[in-house]
Amino acid sequence: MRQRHLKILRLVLALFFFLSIGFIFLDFRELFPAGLYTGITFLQFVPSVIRFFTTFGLISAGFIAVLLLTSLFGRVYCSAICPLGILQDLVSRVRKMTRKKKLRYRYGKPHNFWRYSLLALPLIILIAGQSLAGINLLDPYSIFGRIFSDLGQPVYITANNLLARLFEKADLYILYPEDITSGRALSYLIPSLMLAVVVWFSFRHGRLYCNAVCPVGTLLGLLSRVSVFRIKMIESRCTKCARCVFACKASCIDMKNLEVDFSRCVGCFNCLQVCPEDAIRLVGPGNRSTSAPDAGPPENSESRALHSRGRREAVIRMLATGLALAGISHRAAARFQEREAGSATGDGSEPGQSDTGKQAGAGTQPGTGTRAGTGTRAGTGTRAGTGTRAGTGTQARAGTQPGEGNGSLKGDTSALPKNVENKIPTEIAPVKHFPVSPPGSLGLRHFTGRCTACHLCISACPTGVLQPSLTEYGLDGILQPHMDYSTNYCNFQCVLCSEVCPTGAILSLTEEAKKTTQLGQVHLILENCVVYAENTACGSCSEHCPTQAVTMVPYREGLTLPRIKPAICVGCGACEYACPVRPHKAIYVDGHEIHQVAEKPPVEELEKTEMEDFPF
Amino acid sequence: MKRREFVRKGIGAGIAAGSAMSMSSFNPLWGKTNTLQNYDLVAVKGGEPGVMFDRAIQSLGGMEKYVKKGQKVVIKPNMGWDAVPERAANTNPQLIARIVEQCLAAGAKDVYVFDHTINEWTRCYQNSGIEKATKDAGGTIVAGNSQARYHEIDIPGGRVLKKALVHELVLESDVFINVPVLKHHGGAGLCVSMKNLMGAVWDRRFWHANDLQQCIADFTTAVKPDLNVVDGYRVLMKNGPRGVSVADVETRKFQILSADMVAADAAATKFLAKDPEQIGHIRIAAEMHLGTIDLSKLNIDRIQL
Repeated sequence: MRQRHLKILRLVLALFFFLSIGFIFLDFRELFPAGLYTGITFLQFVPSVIRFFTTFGLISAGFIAVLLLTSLFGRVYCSAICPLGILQDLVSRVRKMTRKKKLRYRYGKPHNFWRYSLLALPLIILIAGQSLAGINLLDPYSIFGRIFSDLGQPVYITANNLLARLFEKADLYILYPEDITSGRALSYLIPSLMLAVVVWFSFRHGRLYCNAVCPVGTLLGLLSRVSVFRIKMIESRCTKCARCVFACKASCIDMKNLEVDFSRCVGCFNCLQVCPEDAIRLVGPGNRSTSAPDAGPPENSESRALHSRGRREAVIRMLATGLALAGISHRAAARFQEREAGSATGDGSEPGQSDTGKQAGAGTQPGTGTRAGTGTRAGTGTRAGTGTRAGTGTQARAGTQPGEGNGSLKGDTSALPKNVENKIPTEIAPVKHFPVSPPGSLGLRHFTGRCTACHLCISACPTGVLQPSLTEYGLDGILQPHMDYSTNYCNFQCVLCSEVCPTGAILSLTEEAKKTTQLGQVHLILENCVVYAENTACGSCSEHCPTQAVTMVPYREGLTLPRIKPAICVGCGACEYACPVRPHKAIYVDGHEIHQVAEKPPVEELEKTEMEDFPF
Repeated sequence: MKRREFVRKGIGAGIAAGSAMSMSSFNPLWGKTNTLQNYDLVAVKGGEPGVMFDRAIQSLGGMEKYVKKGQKVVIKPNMGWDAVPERAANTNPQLIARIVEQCLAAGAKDVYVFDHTINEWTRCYQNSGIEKATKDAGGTIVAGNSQARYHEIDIPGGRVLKKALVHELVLESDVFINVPVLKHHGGAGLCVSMKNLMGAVWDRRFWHANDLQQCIADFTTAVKPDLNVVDGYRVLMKNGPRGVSVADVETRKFQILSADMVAADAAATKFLAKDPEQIGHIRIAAEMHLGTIDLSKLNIDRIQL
């Protein structure tokens, strides 16, 4: 078989994965069928591992396929499947095209300290720090996702809008404009930084990023040391022209010793294509010797010893990593544990287990049987003043409301932010104990312990309510999406985020289950309400409420005043988003630590209107 | 284009036939009407949405009275909610389809349909059934979700509302047809013609923060539709303007047409056995002489099908 064709196969696969994964992060108009998302992201290593520890089953076996592939052919994942790897190849290609001088790579020594440290670091953070932060910041799929979602999608939407305007000038309404929801500066900063790092590495050093920084590359590199098929140089054929060395993005071909460091080989097969003598080949176990082309003489003892040492080392390292990964489902995000004792009274079992148990049993009914947990905060009704629930350990996390505790606003309108449109600025700040995690994520612990912050749900979310967090989940949950009710609110009948999540952080919800999934509960600060404070009609909160957990009841002079029924609230945030007063809103949603089941809104028969044919 | 032509011709023929019938004194059902009379308001009961509209617009002198050849028409239904037609949170799609067809039959160059929705717009357009109905009828669906398409206008007659960002289609089109669905509204009392115009505006938060009822009335001093068609086929009787389920809906099968928003809204209010004076923005608009709230002063055609 002419192995030069292997490169073409790699290119086809790479283009498929790059374009499809790239597009799902850009797509804002649901052009890509939601049912295909999990297929497209199936093979992505880190999401698949996490999903495996969440849901088990075939749907999460992608990483096992990758491990098998790697144990057969080495790190072909890095060149054909990993979107961040393919992005680097594109950068190299651009460099090749823009430079007059021919691009030549050289052999380089492995950066063992860096690569093994950066593999160990996220695992240490996971086990010792009980946090996914290290994995989130270094997982190549999630880095790629954040680059395309946070930076790429706004560019894509802008292009769409320019085209739409052009068409409209010609009275053609075939493309529709979309407003870009602007995130906070820091949520652009981290992806920009990673993009710069990756571009710099690939522009200057080929695939050095994958061999010095990327923990997935390093992990698969351990396995590829013992893979069945490996790239070898055949001494008897090699003329030492070094074309393979110049073509090797991973800098892993050592011409001096006629050796290929297969732990660093990213399986691009460029070397196979450029060799005029077929002297570098992917060979099976029978053909390992560098000296003989076809089933040659046995290896010398020195090289055999080298092999077995490498193999032993690899096996030990892999075992350690495997153990560490197994810790994900049980260890991560235990920082919410201290509060769980108080709120999860429904079942006495260990909360982590109850999460997964529920998922395995009836995947579409999160939180069944745990409703009792809300008892402490249900029916709070209207609350006067702040601080009735202050003083808890998690208060600091609430910090989304500017000016909290600022009581000197009265009369001083000049110092107010511009967006205050009500005549009398509101004074009482909402008190939020927990952030709101997306529907299907079961609760904060489940979500933060499984989300790698790839931002696929943020890209897919049709309303833009999902936004990258900064400190909402604590600093180590940075960039994990939260429901930002200042940006928008959750569409009652939409379950898109739950269908696209590759890690199982957001588990699949049916539309019916979503309608009773309670992410948080509504709270009303009547003193802030424009109807109460200024005696003018409003009703914006109730208007937006899908279940009428906020209803308007008769007040005075024909006015209506909001009244809340937290038991039927789903926590979608529509009321909070719609409330017109500033700086503090009159109605808001406080997140649940563990999602609850909302009661269904009561159905009452209508009284028939009896009247003459034309009442005028 | 062939299909659209077919529709135009078909409707033209239908109108001709209908007119002929209405002239005939032998037909007891149609006998009473006289198309030459200038009605201020037409109320029609007891038919399907399209049929009622055909009958009512004919009574007002036909669509040709409002739409001239080659004109651009914009239709503003209420499709602000991600809800199916049976929930009656949005205007009836059959009614919109018929209005689009009538406009095209009268010679309109383009008929645009849009709303600044409250729920996510693609779902509203789709699940309301209006997107499909409009396209099938030959109209053009336009998105209302981008601030760039809204332009500031002055409202000199407004008491509180002095400025608003209004969709460019409303500002540019030759004919503006307002097609609200009548429903209960928790904040504004009722949602009819005047309230429906909020969907042509971008910056609605100001209205809610600064006396909603007054702002609704203020806006009508600056933007006046050429025709208002109030959809009373299915009526959301409570939990409005969104509604929770079909249990909130009563099928009433009526329709009101008028160029006078105050009159149309007052008539619609009476259909719900309520007093128009009790609905804040209707009362305020009447006080500001923006229309007639006293229906006894109007020339009304009452049609029972």
